[in-house]
Amino acid sequence: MDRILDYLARLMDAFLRWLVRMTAELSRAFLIWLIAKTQALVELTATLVNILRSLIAQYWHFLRGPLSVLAVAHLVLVLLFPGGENHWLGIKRNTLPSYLSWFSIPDALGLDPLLEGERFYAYKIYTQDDEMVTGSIPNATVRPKLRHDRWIHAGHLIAGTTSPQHEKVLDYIVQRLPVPPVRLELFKVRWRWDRNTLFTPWNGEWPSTQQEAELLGTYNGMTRVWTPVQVGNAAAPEKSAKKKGVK
Amino acid sequence: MKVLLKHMQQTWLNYWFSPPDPTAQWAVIRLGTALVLLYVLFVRSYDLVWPLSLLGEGEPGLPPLLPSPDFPLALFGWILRPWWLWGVHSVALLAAFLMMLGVFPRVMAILSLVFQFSYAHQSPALLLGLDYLLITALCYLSLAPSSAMLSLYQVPPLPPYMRISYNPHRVWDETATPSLSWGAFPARLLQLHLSVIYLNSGLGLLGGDWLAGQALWHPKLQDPAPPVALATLETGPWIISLITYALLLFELFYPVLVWVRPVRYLCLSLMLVAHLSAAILWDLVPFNLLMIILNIIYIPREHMQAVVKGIRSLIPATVAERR
Repeated sequence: MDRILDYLARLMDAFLRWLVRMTAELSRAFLIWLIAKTQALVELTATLVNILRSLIAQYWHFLRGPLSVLAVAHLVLVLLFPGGENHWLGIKRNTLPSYLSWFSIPDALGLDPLLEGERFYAYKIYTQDDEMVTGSIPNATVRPKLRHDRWIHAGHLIAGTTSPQHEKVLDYIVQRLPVPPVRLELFKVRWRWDRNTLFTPWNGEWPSTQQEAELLGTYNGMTRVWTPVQVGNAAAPEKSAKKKGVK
Repeated sequence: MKVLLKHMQQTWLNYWFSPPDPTAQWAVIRLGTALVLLYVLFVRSYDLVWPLSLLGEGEPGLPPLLPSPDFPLALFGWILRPWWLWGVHSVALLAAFLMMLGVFPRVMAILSLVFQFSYAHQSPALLLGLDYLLITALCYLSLAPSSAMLSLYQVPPLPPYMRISYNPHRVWDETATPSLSWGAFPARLLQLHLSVIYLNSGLGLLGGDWLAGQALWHPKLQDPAPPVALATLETGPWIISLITYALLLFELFYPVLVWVRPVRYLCLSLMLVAHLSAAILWDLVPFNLLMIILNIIYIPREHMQAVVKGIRSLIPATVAERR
């Protein structure tokens, strides 16, 4: 029995040695193959580039004309359809080559983000512990200035004026809360950058914004009902039949 | 008639292809664009993962606020795990860094362009004018030979076999004098494109507030609380009107007058003042810095080359001794 076990152990040992050696050999072969193929690929690319360069050099005399005409066409399109559309002619971007949308620079001094982005969402959550938590969407504490500009732009886009969009934002907030709130108020407010100090609308440091914070609706945690404020008549809220759940 | 047509054709081709390559301009533009790109990518690092949850398809089961469009070049659309995002982002940073050093700058510009498209499709709501300007700059940098100056190819202490341009076939040798007069073509394109940007911007400003000279009183321009508060100029409203009209006239006439050689430097000085003012007053430094960098393409080639050579002669004084 011992001899059989000894024989089996030797066999296993030999097998393992063979396995290790084979793995090493295969890895080495694979590496050599990989290096050779990479080298071949680089050489092939170099050859192709050489051929292309030779062809261009050979036919350069004939290519210059069409190339300059293409350049003029490109520049005329950029001039007439900045960003792919022309408001005066009433032409929208989806009717034109889509690459034009990548050359959309509305203001040469970069003032457009200041003129466009201003809105974002803010909320007050009244918790079950009788506390009030405030926050904003997108995150209000972003730094540096470039990042802030991106977020006011994003905030401007997502703070849409339609009620379904507000409900979507409410869903987004409520579904991420660990505990259901007693009440949640959603506002549309303005965002202001003041040299590394963000004035929130509630802390009293920015009274003008407090007046501009517009209540969009209220979520009742007891009944799970979202009640949007009717546009143009803030005093008479319109009840939504949809009930919201908390995960 | 035939002679006239021939002459016109030759003049047209000379306009696009004949001027000698503006190598010094491209070198400075490459360096400046890469630095701005590195800063933009660094700032992107903060929002690399988060926009997915707020604006895109982030957390499964929860509704996105803004859907992302499908686009095959959007690399981030294929990636869901944050560490893969960081991997791809690191490659983008590396490509920008290599472009700054001048290592295969055209390849790196194309790569950076693909990454910029990917970021754009990852979170379209975060796109600003700066991103579009970067894309424009990278488009032309991917066409232009920009490593003949201010790049690793020119680092003298390296022995020839260690230089990156070393290649027995000289296929990738960017330092070789281009035989196709190619370098002038993207330079012309960029010059004309910049003129188009200014003209479009000037025409876009021809609205009520700007024509009335009151645009700078706009509360959104007053909000960022610039270091020199515009509100302090209330005692002399004509100053604000003067600045408004000056900016409007600058954007309308700069694209035309910058082509007139005698007043070119005057125009470039005005451009410098306008962009520096916008950068400082409204804290829009990266955008205006990139505009200034791109405007270098208007500086005559011989002047720019003299400036760059002057800078180089100052720096490698010790290097020349070592040689």
